[in-house]
Amino acid sequence: MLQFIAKRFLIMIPTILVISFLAFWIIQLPPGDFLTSYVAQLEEMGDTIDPQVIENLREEYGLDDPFLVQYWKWISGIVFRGDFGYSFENNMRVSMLINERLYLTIIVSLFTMVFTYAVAIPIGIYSATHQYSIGDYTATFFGFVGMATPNFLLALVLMYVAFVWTGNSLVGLFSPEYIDAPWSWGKFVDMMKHILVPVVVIGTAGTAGLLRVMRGQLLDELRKQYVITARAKGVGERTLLWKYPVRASLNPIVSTIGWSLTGIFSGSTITAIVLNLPTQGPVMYNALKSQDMYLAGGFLFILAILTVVGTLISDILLAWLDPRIRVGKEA
Amino acid sequence: MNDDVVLELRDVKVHFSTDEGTVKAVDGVSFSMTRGKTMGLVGESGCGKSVTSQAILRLVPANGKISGAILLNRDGQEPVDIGALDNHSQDIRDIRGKDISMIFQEPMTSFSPLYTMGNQLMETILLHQTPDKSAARTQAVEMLRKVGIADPARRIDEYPHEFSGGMRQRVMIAMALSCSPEILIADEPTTALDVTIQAQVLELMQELQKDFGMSILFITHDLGVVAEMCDEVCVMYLGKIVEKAPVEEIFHNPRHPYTQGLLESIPKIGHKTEGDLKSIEGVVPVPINLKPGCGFCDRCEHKIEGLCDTYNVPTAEVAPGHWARCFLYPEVVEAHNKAVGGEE
Ligand SMILES: Nc1ncnc2c1ncn2[C@@H]1O[C@H](COP(=O)(O)OP(=O)(O)O)[C@@H](O)[C@H]1O
Ligand SMILES: [Mg+2]
Repeated sequence: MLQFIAKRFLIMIPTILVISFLAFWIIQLPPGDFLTSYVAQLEEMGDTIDPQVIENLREEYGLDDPFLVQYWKWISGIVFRGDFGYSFENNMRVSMLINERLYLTIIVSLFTMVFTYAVAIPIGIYSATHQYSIGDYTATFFGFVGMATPNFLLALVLMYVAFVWTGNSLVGLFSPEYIDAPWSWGKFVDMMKHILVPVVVIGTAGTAGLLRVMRGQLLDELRKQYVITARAKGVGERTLLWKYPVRASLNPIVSTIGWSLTGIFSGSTITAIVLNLPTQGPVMYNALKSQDMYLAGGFLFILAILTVVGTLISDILLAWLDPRIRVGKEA
Repeated sequence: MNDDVVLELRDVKVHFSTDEGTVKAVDGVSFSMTRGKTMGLVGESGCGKSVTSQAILRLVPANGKISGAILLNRDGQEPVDIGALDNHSQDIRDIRGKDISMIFQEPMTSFSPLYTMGNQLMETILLHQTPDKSAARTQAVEMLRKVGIADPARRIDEYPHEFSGGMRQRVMIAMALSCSPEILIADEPTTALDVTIQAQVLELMQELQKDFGMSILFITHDLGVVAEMCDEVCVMYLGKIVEKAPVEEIFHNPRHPYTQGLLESIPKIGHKTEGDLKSIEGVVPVPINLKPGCGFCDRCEHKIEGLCDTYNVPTAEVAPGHWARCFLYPEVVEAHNKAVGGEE
């Protein structure tokens, strides 16, 4: 098992390097760069800017260097100095911006995942063990509605409901008095109050999908011969259900944890804009629009790393759950 | 109840409700098993053998309803009627794996791939014999040795996918016998195995029967295997037993045309086969919306018009210990006349 994990770790390094290269390349793809779009914007408004200043800036940031040189400067800064470059738009170091937003993004995403699994798995199990019962049909109905409702709509509805009930629309992740305050118990409680709406909004579609997967998998497993074998040995129904088919049907779910993390990251942008969440989505969106390349590249790179790490976690969990994978890899 | 009888089925029926109607998979089966002996249950695929065996442990799928009496006569205890127990009761769970255990056709899928053989083997022992894990393990290793697994102390911690089909079936047998059951139900235990492996597994079962003294209900569609394994045979067709006799009688003196057809379709050692082997025309229908009459009459060469296709056939003893369900025999016609006369 340790060997398996070590091997997976080593494979991660080249994967991440390739991803960083691609990320940087994609960010560079659109014609022009931040300064050209900045100048264009100023000129549109009737302003002019001394070409010499622009020239100096281009020089300073190496915008006219060949692609590979730019890439090398960027990646070596990250790897050796933890320096993600400079955000033109925000006049800040990218690492500062990322720092601020990243952990909130991770918190929201993790809560969303916990919500998704905590709701979908038990209901999926109930649906499969009570196939075609009223409860099953109800779960199916709400599952499809949840899947079909666009996030922004759900966000607006929940904001409205929250406003009617609590007099507070629960927009953002914190009440105004806590936004810039240091962490405290009060700030944490405040965040927990606010986090419910985004978690439900971002998690609903995933929950509905996962519920269908769990139900289908479990129905498949319940029909398998080994279930009858266990029953014929005298194993009680509850023990049997959890020990054999439920565990078996978790495998495909566990193996997609890595992807669902990406899904949550990229799927939550619109929600984050609507709900004014201080997560990466809106910043990333703006950075892409204004060609703020180091900021966009930095986020893209970190999200990619998180996805790779998520996949690694999936693989380790899967190997732990399924001996066929574990043994196969070691042999 | 006679002490020699370990299990008796009386008019057992299993009816499935489906969207198309009621499937009478097992429709009035009666037989009794003698302590320490092997009863064969034979017939083509789809005639209700598996469902009969599932009924004995109340393992039929949820849309099936069991009726009739299934009397289990444990040594020195009052007989219990399994037919009257609840599917989820503690009583039936105590019987499963302990008094009656079962092995299945597919050694591939009969184990969960997620747990070691030891885990799945010890589960039975832990449930019925001892809560002590290390004692259970010792016993499990011993059982593996008995079924011919080399180096059992090491192999017990391996997973099912590390075993071959034949070896898996051996572990399955070890699991089934780990609590010394009175009855072992073997549902086509060798059908999925290669011929040479098949012979080894059958031999193992016979040895273990001498050792453990259990009765075996041996289900198969292969009459060659029946000749080797069984003391008595029930031939099943379309949910009913059509012939029941000691094994020599079945082979030397088959009465029911269905049994005769089955026998003609197997090659005989020492006999030159002239031309092709005969096979019975047609297939077993699904037992749904059946007309009255003998279920076999559409495929039967000896069908008597106006009788076989009109009346349900009773069984009668056509020779000592030899029962058949066919109007070709005067005893059966007599039983029929008596029944019809009684109704009028
Ligand atoms: N759950 C079920 N619902 C409806 N019909 C069933 C079900 N299980 C088995 N049957 C039917 O019962 C009949 C007997 O099946 P089975 O006992 O498996 O035959 P075999 O003799 O091959 O073991 C078949 O016609 C089969 O289609
Ligand atoms: Mg069968």
